Formats: sequence, structure tokens, C-alpha cells
Amino acid sequence: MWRTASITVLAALVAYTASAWLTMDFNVWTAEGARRLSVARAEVPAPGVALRGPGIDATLPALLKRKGQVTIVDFVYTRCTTVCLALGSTFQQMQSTLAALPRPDSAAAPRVQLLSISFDPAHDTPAVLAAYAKGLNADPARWRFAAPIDAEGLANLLGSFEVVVIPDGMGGFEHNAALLVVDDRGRLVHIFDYAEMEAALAYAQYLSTQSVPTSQKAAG
Amino acid sequence: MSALKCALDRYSAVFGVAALIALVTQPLRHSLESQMSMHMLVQFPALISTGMLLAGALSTKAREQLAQWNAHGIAGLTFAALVLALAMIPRLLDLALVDASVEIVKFVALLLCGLALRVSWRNAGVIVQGFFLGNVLPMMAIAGSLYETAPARVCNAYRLDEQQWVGQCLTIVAGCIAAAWLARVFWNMTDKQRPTAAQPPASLRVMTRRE
Repeated sequence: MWRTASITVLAALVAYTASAWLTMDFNVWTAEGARRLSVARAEVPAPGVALRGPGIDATLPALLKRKGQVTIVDFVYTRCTTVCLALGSTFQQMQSTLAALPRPDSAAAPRVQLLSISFDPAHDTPAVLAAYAKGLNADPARWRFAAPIDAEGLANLLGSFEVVVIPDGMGGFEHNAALLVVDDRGRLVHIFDYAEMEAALAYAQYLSTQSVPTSQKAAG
Repeated sequence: MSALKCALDRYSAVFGVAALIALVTQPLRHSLESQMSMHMLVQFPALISTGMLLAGALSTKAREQLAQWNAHGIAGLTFAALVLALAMIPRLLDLALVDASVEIVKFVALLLCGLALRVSWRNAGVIVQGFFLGNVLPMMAIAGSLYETAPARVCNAYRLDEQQWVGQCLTIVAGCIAAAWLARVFWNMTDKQRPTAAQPPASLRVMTRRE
């Protein structure tokens, strides 16, 4: 009987270790939860990906590297009729909230920027993105749109930020939509659910005031 | 039916190896994992069944040695219950698609789960079986109802509508297994209570033979 007892205890210990690893110490149950927790624990540098959009022709980390500037990024495709619409209205609300804030130096560029990246570059050409931006009343000084110029860059970007895009069975896509906060060194530092708009804005504003070269990430 | 069962028993290991090769190779594996329902409701049970078939390759001696570490099937059924609990964590499904080592561990664990079930089930008896099912089935039904009612997707690689359907199926499967097991236990109990229906009691038979 002691053999049975010891092998049973051993199995329980192995299973405990495996489940602690799988759930990151019982904090997450889904891959999306693991993605957000991992980013909060260690920032992810944006890969070097060439982007093009209305008024944009640049590579990704360089586009976002500007002292004191924090960018809230989301991933969209313009043909989307579900999640992206919710994200679009979230971005509209963030844009108006940011516009209403008092700015110490009105000549300087806004500190918190919004960037919508399309993962459907074949359809979302700069012209299509410009029309889409116009439809959403996007202010080009605050909210910009772009898409990777090639499939390789797209795959690289989606892979680095763990954006998973799958066909939704109705000709569109389903994707893990969220608000990605990228700091002034081009690093993804936090992922918020798109329902947590206020928290994302507050965090981005806080980060933009903390832009010392040696700054450590503030909140976990 | 009995011929089929006989063939299954005899060539169990051969069928097991064939099934394993089919499940591991790319076209079938990829298509089974392309949908959440196929991944959880077809591939998982197929791997467990393959493990059961492979257990047929164990010699009588090996089974006896295993039984020394597995009194009343307790160790085997505990192991199986733990594997099934881990298999319900949605992150496992997503990770298995992108991480080869997780995929390998998933395959091995589910095969061993099937093997453990087969070598433990008969030795376990009704009480240990009932304890095992009393843990695993409610867990499966609860996981199923969580999948069904979750407002967001629990797997980035699978659609929401499919997740809800898988949740319903998990709950139904758990209920069906519970009903089948209870029916069988009840059947065996009532069968033992009226042995005269089939043949006279042993004591009576001995008497008639003497006469």
C-alpha cells in the first residue's frame, strides 16, 4: 500500500508543478491572460517593421520613439463590423478625452498618441485607411492609422505582440482585440482590455510624465 | 460483437500503434486541431482510447508488477483525474498549437491517462470508481458551463460560438458518462440479487447433481 500512496503523492506533485507553470502560479487560465501578465512583468520591444498609412512611411520602433510620448496601439481591419467598431468608438472617446485635457505647451505634439494598425494590408491601403480615419473623425495629430507593407513584417509584428488573428467563418476575422500601451522607447509595456479605457489612458498619461531615460516601468 | 471484441483484445496493441501514428502525423493532427470542438471532443478522447489500446501490449507479468504500485487502481485513477483536470485549462489548447514541447507533453499525458484507466478500472471496484467519477465528471461539467457562459473567448485560436458549443458538449458528455456508469452499477447489483433467473444457486445445483 505504501507504494501506491507514494506514487499517488508523486503524481499529485508533478500535476501541481505542471498546473502552476501552465497558469503562471494560478494567476491566469487563458493564453490571453498569460500574454497580458507576461507583458506586465517584462516589456516587449516592438520589432522593426515597415509601416505605411496616411501621412506615415516609417519603421515601427522609430515611429514610436519620441521622448515623453506614449502610444496606445490597437489592431484592426477596416472591413470589421464587430470588435473593431467597439475599438473604434473606444478610440474616439479616448481622442476626445485627450483633446479636452489642458496642455502646458500647446505647440508641442500631444504626449499620448493613438495608433491603429491594420493586420489586413492587402485590403487596407493608405487610401482605404484615410477614408476609414475620416469616417471615425480621427484627428491626424492625435490618432494615426497604418499597416505593415509586407506579409513578413505583419507576421513578425503579430508574433512579437502575440496578436492572434483567425478567420471568423463569415469572411472576416476574429482577433484578441485590446489596448496596447507602448512607451517612448518603442516597448510594449502593458495590455488593457478595451473595456478598461480609463485605466489605459491614465496609465499612458502617467508613463508620459515619467520619461526619464533610466525610468523603470512603474506599475506591474 | 464478441468476434470484434476478441479481435480488439488480441490486436489491441497493433490497433493502438496504428491509431497513434495516425494521430501524430501532420494532416490529421492539423485538421483535428484546427477547430476547438475537434481538439477537445475528438483528439483528446482519441488519445485516451489509444492509450487504452496500447495497454493491451502489457504482459501479464508487467501488469502484476504495475498492480503492486496501484492498489485498488488508486494511483492510476488519481493520475488520470489529474491529467483530465489539466486538460480542461484553456491555455493548454492555445499553447499546444504554438509550442511543440507542450504538444508532446499533452500527447504523452493523455496516452498515459488512457493506459492508467485501463489497468486500474477493474481493480478499482465500485467505490474507487465512484470517487474518481465523482471528481472528474462534475469538474468537466463545471468547465463546460464556464466555457458556455464565458462572455469572451478563452482560447485566442478558436471562435466564441465554437467555444459555447464545446462547453455544452462537455456538460452533456459528463452527464452521459455518469448515467451510463450508474446504470451499469445498478444493473450489476440487481443481476446479483436474482441469480435464479439464469441458473439455480450453486448449493441447489450440487444437490441436484448428487441425486
